Amino acid sequence: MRGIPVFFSLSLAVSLWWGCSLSFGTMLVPSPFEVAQELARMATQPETWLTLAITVARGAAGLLAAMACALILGIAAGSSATAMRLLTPLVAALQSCPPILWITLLMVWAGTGSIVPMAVVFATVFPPLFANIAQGCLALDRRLFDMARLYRIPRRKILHKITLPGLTPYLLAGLSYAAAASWKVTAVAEFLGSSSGIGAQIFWSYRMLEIPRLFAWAGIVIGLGVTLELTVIAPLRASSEAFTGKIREEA
Amino acid sequence: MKIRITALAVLLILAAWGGLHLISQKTSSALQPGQTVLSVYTTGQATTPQMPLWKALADGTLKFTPDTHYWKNLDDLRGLLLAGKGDIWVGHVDGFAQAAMRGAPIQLVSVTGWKKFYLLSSRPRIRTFTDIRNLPEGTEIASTPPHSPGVAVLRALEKYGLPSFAYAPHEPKQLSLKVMQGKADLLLMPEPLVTVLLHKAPHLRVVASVEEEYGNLTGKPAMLPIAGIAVNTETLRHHPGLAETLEKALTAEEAPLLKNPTAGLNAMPEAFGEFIPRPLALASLKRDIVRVRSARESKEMILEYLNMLFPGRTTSTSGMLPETFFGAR
Repeated sequence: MRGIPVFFSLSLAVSLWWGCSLSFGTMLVPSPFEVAQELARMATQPETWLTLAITVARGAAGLLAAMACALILGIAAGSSATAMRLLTPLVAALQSCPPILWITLLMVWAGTGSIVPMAVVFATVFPPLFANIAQGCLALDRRLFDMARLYRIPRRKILHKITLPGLTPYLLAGLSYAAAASWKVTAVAEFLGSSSGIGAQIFWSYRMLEIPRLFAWAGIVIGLGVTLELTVIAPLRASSEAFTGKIREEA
Repeated sequence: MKIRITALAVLLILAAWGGLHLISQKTSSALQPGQTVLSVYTTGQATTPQMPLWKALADGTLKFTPDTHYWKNLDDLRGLLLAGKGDIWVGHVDGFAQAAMRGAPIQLVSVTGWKKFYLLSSRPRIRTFTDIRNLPEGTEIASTPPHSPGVAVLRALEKYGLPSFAYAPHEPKQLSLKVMQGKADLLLMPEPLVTVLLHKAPHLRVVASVEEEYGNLTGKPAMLPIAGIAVNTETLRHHPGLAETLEKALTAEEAPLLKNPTAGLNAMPEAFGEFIPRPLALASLKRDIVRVRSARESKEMILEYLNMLFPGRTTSTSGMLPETFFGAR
């Protein structure tokens, strides 16, 4: 029963794809069978898995770096309403920068390679993560901090027992968005600014007009996106909602 | 839950593997004790401009181990140059010059690509360059690669009576597809792509060589300093004699390559066959010329060529293109 939506969506997508292949010709839109054959061939090649690994590593590195910085700076900024007021326009400006701008600048500053996708992921997901964490920190009950100060609780314990648990729903919500975005941004940054990784393979497939291969890489991108959604993002979103609900109940 | 944990574990393993690979790749590119490893950034879609380099490496005249990387397109090459990434670059002279004018650490060593661009057509009425000159202004010519210097050369020839055509840029394979679908029949493209396309679309024929017509119209030599080999000036600080050694080795390869160009193709890494099959690359040599000249020797021609590409922006006296670009200290 749980598999019905997946089966329905998949059947619809494959039917539409087949229809396009028949209408436009297999030269432009290869049939699902052709692409499945290409995928099967690629799955036996270690290079395919290494390419996948490179992209996952870059995305994860950018995401982890952004999360670490957002936690440190977000908590620092969120501890003071004045600091938040002063930083809000800067964060809004950073949030409005499209990834393509970072890609272009980083290609000039750092050349092509791993730095471009990692830094672009960082630049794309850092502002929303920072804003989420800082807002969450600002929304924490100040009375808890006053009481902790009164009882001379060490700062490390305050962070561990009050700040971080209070931030969890905000962090999880931010992370669910960041994990979904980082994956797509990595592929785009690799397409333009790297010679390895899935994005670069999509570029080469397009450049050499190897359409079945292009579709096969697209299938891998979508497959990995769905896996991420089901294994990381959806559970994060659910945990964030559950956490918020629990806090409301307790309140 | 079990499926989720397994999928997450697979993702983590992939991330760790990818991360380790990227780190190991970085360290293996660095200098290793006992051998000099230099990163060479090149393209699989060029033949004559890089044949002297690979032949010199195969002959042992150049004593370094190349760590080969491919640039994807001219934008990618520009990014690499501006960031000073790589030790040796094979690429377009105009791209090198543009980056050098913006302060990139580049010294052009030799010019190795002199005759590249051809006009092709499948229209029955277009047989000679005169037929092209008689076409109305605004006629569309499909060109490749995007930002092809060939377009700038044809634009410069407008003052010698060539009509102002509309040049439509395409990626090489995109243009091949259009030709095979019959959607493009008047083209401007470089070798070895010309040979590749003639093989796929036999109804096409070569109408004129851009460099030949440039020579005919201007009264200058029928060749242009299009592509070459450059070094990173930062690399030269660690390997002070590299530029001279490279220049000497590349120049020494000219005569043997003129006699036996196949030896040059055989010296190129096998991976190049993925971009252009070896028999086609070999066939392309009949329209390409092997000629190696040092950057210093070709300076006047280079400046003239760059003035054609970027009118009024490249005179070395104005300080836009540094003298170090040609190897001055």
